[in-house]
Amino acid sequence: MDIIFFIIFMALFAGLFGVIGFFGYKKTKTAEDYFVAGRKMGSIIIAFSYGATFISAVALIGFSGVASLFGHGILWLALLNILVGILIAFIVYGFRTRKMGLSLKAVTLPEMLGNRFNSTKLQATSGLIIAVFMIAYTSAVFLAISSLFVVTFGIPYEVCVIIFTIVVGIYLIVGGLYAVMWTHAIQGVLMVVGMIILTVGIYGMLGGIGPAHEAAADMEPIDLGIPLEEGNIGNPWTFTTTSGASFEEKIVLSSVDPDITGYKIELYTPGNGALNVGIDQNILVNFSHKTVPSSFTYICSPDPGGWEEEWNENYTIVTLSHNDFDLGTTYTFEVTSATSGIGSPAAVLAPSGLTSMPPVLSPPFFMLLTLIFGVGIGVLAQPQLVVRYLSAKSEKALKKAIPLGGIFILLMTFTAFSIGPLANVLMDQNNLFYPGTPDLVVPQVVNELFPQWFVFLFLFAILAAAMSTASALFHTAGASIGRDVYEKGMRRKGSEKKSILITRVATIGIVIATLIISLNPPDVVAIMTAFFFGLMAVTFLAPYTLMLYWKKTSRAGAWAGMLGGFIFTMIWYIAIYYKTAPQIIGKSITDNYMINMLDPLFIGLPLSFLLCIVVSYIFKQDKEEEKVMEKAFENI
Amino acid sequence: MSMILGMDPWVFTAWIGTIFVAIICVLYGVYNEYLKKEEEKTATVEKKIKSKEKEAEK
Repeated sequence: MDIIFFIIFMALFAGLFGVIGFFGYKKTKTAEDYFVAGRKMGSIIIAFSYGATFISAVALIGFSGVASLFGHGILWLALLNILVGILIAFIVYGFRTRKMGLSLKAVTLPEMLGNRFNSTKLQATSGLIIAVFMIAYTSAVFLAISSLFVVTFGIPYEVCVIIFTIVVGIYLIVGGLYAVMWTHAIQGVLMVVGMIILTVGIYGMLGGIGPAHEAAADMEPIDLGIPLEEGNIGNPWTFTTTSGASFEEKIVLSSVDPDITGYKIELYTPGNGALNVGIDQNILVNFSHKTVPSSFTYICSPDPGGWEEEWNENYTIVTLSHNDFDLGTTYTFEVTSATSGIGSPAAVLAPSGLTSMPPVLSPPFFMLLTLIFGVGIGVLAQPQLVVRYLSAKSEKALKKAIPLGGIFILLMTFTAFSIGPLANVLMDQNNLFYPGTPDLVVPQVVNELFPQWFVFLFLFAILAAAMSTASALFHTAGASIGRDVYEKGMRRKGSEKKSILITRVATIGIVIATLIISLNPPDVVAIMTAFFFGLMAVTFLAPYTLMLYWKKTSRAGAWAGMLGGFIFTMIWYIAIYYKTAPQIIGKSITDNYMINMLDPLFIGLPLSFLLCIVVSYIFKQDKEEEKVMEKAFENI
Repeated sequence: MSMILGMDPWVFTAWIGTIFVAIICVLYGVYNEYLKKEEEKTATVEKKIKSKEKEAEK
């Protein structure tokens, strides 16, 4: 049934997007049509396309999962998503980008940089940086969404990756940015519907906003997940089996801890030092609080084998059956580990509770801070989002897109970040446990507590989020290679038709490269989502901002800001940052959490701005640059 | 620490702030779509009146 539904829905998706791709193809006559949808896009499409590109599946399921660990403190990121990601992005960057893009006849961010500073090398280099990292980031998006479909539908991972990549690749390559932005509108609607139902459903189950938040606030660390504490009862303990074969001789004794506070073993049977224990006597362990079954481990020496666990309804008592013990033998049994509650790391990451900020300057505070500012500010220099400004038919269209974009992001991130911590309450109430990764927290809640029709709707809303982001990334990466690197960097400028053809071929190459990486993902792909936003921001934000607002920015300054930011960020991620360094070089070179938890953006961004400004003062614009600069500002 | 709607004051600030910023986005749109137009219209009407007055003076 599930697979049939998957096939029908995927066929509908592919058919609909294929038709849109065909219309996009018919409308694409010039290079501008392919790259920036002829600069004819209206406010609704821009708002949905910007939002759907910005909010990927990673943001919806990844960040709601992260919210389940850090609590509602992550709502600061939702605030920045709208304040910086929409208001500041459109008003401070969008309007000027569109005007300057028109003056410079630029259709990509690298082309804007290249034309503004009269340097094809600058354009080609920035295009190459964007393309390389976008391929890895797109692979990470497909990896996340395919893993989700594997769990739900049981479809092989490879099949999911191939289907998703081909569907996105075809409508994108054929229809260009027209198809990408039109499909974003449909995908955006699906995302909005899915998130509204999910949010209303979760708040409804918990009795409304106030009661839901209070229930989350009431969750103690022991409810979230703490390790087993040492109690007054012996662990390990020993018992001796009966020397006769008669089952009637078995004696059941229990050891009871008289003073129970915290998460401890309350009672076990057979008790410590028990004699004449029957050879088929089950071992029973009673915990003081709900226990995560998968966290419960034990050792019995000598080991009779054939162990089977059975938990009571509240997950406080486990009964262990086994092959018969040997007669007249002393056994030692030890509970080696157990975790309380739902087994979530939230007890450590949200030490003040799920609806409170962590203590200032504590490690969780730094983790949260770095996440909020890294993603919140990083959005300003994302090449795939800059294209949305360039595609606007007028400044008025961009202005009209602001309220729509604000509401769209509110319905996406505000809802996702609000429901994440509440998922813990629902898991606790329904005897569900932390699924091992934050990415699966909300999907698990949906799977277990929502009706089947919504499970499918939610999955396809997440798929829509993944497809919309992937198509925008493919389009930008294809344009970077085709237009910025090949045409401009290698000086292979041809006719408009040839330009589109080159980019289509480049995009096919990007799609195939993404497919290959997604099918055999190296470890580094999984961490790409952690640093893609930051890398793009530190590399491009300074030259991009100064290009728009400071007429004295020189080519040398732009190079210094861009390369300085890029090199600094790469070194920081490889050697220092706590999320990436352990996976790349094994361990961060510093143990100081105030340094290794700091997003490179905090240092890299000021450094990049400083380099841009200082070098621009030292190596001033030449005559050619001045001419181009005057042209760039003629409409501003 | 006192809680507001089950959240500590800092988290509540983020919560209400997000809604507030979204409302600002909407108000920005309403202002540009309707109120700003009115201003422009008023300005145009004023210009026309002034030019008519000037013509009358001549």
